Amino acid sequence: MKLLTHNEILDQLKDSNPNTLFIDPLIADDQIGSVSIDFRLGYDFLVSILTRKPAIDPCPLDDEKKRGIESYFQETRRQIGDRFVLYPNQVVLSTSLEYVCLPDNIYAEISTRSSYSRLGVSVTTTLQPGWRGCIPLELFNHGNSPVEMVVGSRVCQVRFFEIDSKVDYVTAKSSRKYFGAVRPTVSRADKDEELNKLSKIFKR
Amino acid sequence: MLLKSNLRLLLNQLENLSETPYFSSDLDVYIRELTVVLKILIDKLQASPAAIDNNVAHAIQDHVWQLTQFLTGSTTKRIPYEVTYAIQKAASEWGPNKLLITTAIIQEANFYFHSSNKTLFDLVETELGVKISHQPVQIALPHIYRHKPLFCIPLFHELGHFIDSNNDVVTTSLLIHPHTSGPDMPDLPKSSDIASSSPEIQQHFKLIIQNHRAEYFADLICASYMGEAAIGFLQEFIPASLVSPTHPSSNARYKIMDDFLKGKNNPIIEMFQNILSKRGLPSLSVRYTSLDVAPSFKNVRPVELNTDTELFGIFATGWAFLMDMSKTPIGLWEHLSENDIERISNDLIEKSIRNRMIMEGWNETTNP
Repeated sequence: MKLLTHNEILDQLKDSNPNTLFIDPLIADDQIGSVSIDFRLGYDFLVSILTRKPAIDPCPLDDEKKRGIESYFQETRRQIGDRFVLYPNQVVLSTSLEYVCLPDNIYAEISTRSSYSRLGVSVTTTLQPGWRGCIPLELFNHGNSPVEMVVGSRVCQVRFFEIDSKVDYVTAKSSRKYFGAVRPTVSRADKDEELNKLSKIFKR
Repeated sequence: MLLKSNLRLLLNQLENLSETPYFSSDLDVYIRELTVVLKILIDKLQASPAAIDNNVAHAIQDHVWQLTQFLTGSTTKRIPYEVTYAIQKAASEWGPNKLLITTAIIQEANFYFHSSNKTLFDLVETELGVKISHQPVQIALPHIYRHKPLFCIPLFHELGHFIDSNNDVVTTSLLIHPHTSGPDMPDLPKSSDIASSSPEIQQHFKLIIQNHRAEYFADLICASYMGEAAIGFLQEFIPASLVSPTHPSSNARYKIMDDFLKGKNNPIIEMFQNILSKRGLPSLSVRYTSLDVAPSFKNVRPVELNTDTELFGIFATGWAFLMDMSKTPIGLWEHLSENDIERISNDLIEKSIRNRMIMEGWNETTNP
């Protein structure tokens, strides 16, 4: 496994081969650092809200009607340069401004830029080889003060790792629910078939 | 009593809206002007005797109510900025002023593109002494299509009605090419037969022909921006609609759009070209570039849109791509469900448009 450096990232981006790194829009050249690229905050948000049901339950034990995870979030959109207020202890789902395609032998690690870490904002995720879409960003404010996030600001950095073997991201067995997503998507935890099995074990 | 209560309720809603920070400065001014209208109207109704005609007050109430609905929709922050951007670009080719757009996301399967009712604004100025400085247009689209740009193609048909009503295209056509002298309209009696019928029958067909011409004109505007996608979407949305007093049959509508796109002679198209020329408006022409989206979309990548004509062109080729992949998915699309194929196709178009909006804004700020 190898961490891609500045020139290797540039080579990937310039390559016309369809199985190479693709980022659009890459607004400024200086987003590309020595071993990473700065990514920007996108414009679509799903904001967690309080509901009458006190807890998100992906797999209710009794016959109670399940409340969908989506109903715990509220959709809102912004224009570039607009503000989004991230309140303390609030989960907000967003994406990167950039649309990313990863080759089948490169995976990516996303972390918060230090300027935002110091405000208490955290973003951490990984992308598998073959990924297509805007990067899902699960924003959380660990601090005590709300933070006004600017849409289009550089909030995270992405490091790319080349692996020795190739990975098929989309196959007949795994169609990938988030493939090609350009806006945040709520958790699919309730779609995990194992949860039903686990509930049955508990009820025995 | 109810009228005054309604006006106070609307005033309250507008005042709440004026306190939200979401509007452009033009819309802020507009809301403030509407609140002044309501306050004066309430004062006039409270005078004894009332200082304004009740029917006039009702008409203004109805109008402000509708305007408020669209303004409220614009604060939801869920509107499809990408589609309204494309519509704004298209509309700018038909008038000198940038449109002030208010958008409503509605639950019904319908699309609207209405200009403000100028007569009512004139009435407000005459009766209440308030001149409204901006007259926004109102766009509405179905809630379930808010992230489906390809399914918002009918908005370009509605744009055609907007261009027509703003420039009296069809009204003028009836003066220069009366219903009794042609051109003949598909599915309707020949103009010579109408001319030889009774005055009542002639008047009856005049209204029908006016409606049909309006629909054909809107279809042609839609086809000029959306190409074959205008026909393709109509075939899916209203597959086999028969002729009615308000609309031509689906087949007649497909044919006129097909004739236009293939450059075939068609007397109705020639009539509109003549009217547009007389009105000093742009002619009906293909206003998009056939952008080949397939190489990028097959690799599940958005495309770069460098011009406005490419911006319009993405709808035509995007629609063709969606149809192709729905029938025969290949490559990365092979294992995707029909639902995912539709979702990703629409998302790639939405993202391509948004990327253009971002880069346009960035470049204008960097190189003013």
